[in-house]
Amino acid sequence: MKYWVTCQNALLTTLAYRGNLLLHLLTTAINVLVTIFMWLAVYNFSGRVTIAGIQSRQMVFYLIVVNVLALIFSAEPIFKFSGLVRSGNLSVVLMRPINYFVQSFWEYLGRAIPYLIVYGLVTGIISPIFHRGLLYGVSSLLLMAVTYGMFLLMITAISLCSFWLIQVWPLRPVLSALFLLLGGQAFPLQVLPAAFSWLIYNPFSLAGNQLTLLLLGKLSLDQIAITGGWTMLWTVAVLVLIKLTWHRGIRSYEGVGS
Amino acid sequence: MFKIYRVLITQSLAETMTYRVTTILTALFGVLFYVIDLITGGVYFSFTPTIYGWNFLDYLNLITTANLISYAYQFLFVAAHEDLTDQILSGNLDYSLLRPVNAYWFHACYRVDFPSLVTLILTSIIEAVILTRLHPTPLNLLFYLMAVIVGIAFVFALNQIMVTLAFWVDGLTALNGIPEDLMTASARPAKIYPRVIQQLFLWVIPSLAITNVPAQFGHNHPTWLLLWITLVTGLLLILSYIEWQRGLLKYVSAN
Amino acid sequence: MSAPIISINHASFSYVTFTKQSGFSGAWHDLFHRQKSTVAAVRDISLQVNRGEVLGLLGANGAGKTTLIKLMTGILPVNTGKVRLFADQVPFRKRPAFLQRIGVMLSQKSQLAWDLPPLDTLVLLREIYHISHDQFTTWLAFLTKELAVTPQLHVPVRKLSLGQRIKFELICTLIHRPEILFLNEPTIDIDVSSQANIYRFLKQLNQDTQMTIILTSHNTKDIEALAQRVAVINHGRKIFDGTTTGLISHYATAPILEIVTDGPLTPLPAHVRQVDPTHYEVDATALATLPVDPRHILRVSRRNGNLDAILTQLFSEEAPAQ
Repeated sequence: MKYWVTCQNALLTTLAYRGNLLLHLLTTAINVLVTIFMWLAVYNFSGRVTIAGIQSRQMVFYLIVVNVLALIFSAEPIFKFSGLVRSGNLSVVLMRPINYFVQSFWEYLGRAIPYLIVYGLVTGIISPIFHRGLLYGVSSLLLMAVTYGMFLLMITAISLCSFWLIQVWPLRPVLSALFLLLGGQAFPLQVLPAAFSWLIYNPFSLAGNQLTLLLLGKLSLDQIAITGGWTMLWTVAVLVLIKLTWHRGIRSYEGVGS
Repeated sequence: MFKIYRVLITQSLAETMTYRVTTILTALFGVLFYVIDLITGGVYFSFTPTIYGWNFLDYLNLITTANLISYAYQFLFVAAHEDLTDQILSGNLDYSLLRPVNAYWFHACYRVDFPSLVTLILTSIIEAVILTRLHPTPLNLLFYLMAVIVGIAFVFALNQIMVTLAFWVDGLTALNGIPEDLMTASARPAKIYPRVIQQLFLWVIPSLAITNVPAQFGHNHPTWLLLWITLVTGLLLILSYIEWQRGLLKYVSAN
Repeated sequence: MSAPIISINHASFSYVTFTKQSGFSGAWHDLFHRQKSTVAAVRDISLQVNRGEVLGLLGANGAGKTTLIKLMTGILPVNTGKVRLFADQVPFRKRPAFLQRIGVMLSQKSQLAWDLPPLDTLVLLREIYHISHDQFTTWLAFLTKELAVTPQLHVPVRKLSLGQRIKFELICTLIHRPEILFLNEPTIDIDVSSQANIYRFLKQLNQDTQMTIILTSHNTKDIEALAQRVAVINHGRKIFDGTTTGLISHYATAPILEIVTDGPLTPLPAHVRQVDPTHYEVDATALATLPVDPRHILRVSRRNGNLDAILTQLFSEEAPAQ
């Protein structure tokens, strides 16, 4: 129940700044439109029907979905956590009878609800994944859930840098650049030469590129399994990292005596 | 006024030196996003040699010019605009109202952003290289420079108008991002857009013209649109000035 | 007598505020309808100040003191009435020649650049006010010496103590030698010795240069230390204008004296009531002399006879009907 309140508050905060929310969506929409028109021109002048197995209509959906995903997979917890460390309020939070990480999961979820609704609608309307049998549907949902968890954990792991870094704001442009380039937000990674095909298993691509392709029905059951496998692998790696750094971080934090 | 500006620039530099790491990082990120633009452009043109008559070099010229305009605006005005937003929102303009100087220009020029100077210089060098490959005639080169200056003024006016809106609407700081988004979206050949959008952003809010016009002069395709954007920019500057004065009237500082 | 340097006639000012509602439905409601309300900050105030005077504006938080200062300095325009400085200057027109002649220090608002030493801000002000380099250097040296902050001139503002920062705010306000100095809550939250330093300095400045000083505060110590005259503002209205002692005698209604003695009084004189063995109260309404042996008195004070007590009583009164 107490976590549900966290989730609700996060949603309320997003809505309270509804002007900012709308403008944020508008910004995204503008960027998506620009990319879409550019790609349509590329299709038009190259004379190709498909590029990397993607038709022009599918490319439009791809770009919309991947940008919504970029909104869902926000890096906000990093800055929140850094704020707690800097202000010394982390001690207060840690003394409360709740698990900070569980709380931060619900907060993450709550904040993203408006975007998740958009994502859900798009999925429901255009995605073929629920017409391919129960197994495909279930494994798709599973992959989405696992990816969501993996990304939050990765962001959490990165946020632990706050124990040692004085300023974390530079992470914001770095992460958005990474999502743009490695997450497939600027273009699907499949259009790159084959030598770069390994790139699709980086965590940003798993969250952006792969989930979008899944939604477009471009992933076979095998590919879902492989993607899921990589996601799990990253999850484990990030969990280990968190375990290792958390205790050291806390020790250096308390050492400061804030 | 010039003496005051010199003091302000000196102060900006002193502040920049206080935050050296920040300066370096900001410059790096500027370059990073430019590189992403380049890579994305490379991806587009790996599938077709030309798009609406623009080849890869023309396209590079376009996005580099657009970046040049953005970075010049950022160097000259962005820090002042950020500061102004804070001052308006926190009701801290009182002192500026009490100074015997023109508060509009004082706030517009309050700080220059030295980190952007690094990216500005880098972009200028790249653009110079691109121009030597495109061989514009001396006259077109002159018009190219003029168009860039008009572009900077245009971006300044748009931002000034948005920032001053804080007198009336609070909690809409994201509004301040609109001109930047608009300019990012305009860093593409106008022709890729549907007709209505083209007309809208070439003539009504001529942001597409702002980026496309200098680029066209750069590869020797002169256009009369330069006159139009100069006119519109002038009007926007006047509008922003009127808005500023109205805003001051509206200003009731939080006490 | 020459014309007053500040002349306010029936000035009023009100501003509009929006109220925010809480919770989800409140936020939703605010999206479409925001609740407006008008607050009258200054109501029909008239006030004259002569050159060289030190006037204290007293009032509780939100009484309208700051608004009145803003009307006088031209930050805000009057809704009705007239404000004139230097005989014919309308402050809100903000003529450069007018701005050159006034100095304003607003508490909780800073004119100092946070990351730079105070000297940088002062140099900027030098250019803004067209002060010659020689004048600037000597005057600045004098100000920093008097306020004991010369060594801090080159220290970034963020590293200064609050007292030092306030002193530099004051220096910024004085750097162009204004004829009228407006000080809004100048010594809020700073330590006693810095306060004393500032009072002494301002007093001397007023005596030496005939600088007119308008001072607002809800700290009665500021006022008592500096002001020759006080105006009390309550709920936007001026309810008193005169000297501090005048204020006390005007409002100290019941003439009850509180007496502290060096020992118990035996026997207890007439009209005297014992509070505890060394504290007594005398109702002086019907008395011509004190009925207590002066040799035993340590202290006599009139109840309700200090500024703080009177102001507390005044400001706790209800707002007058709109």
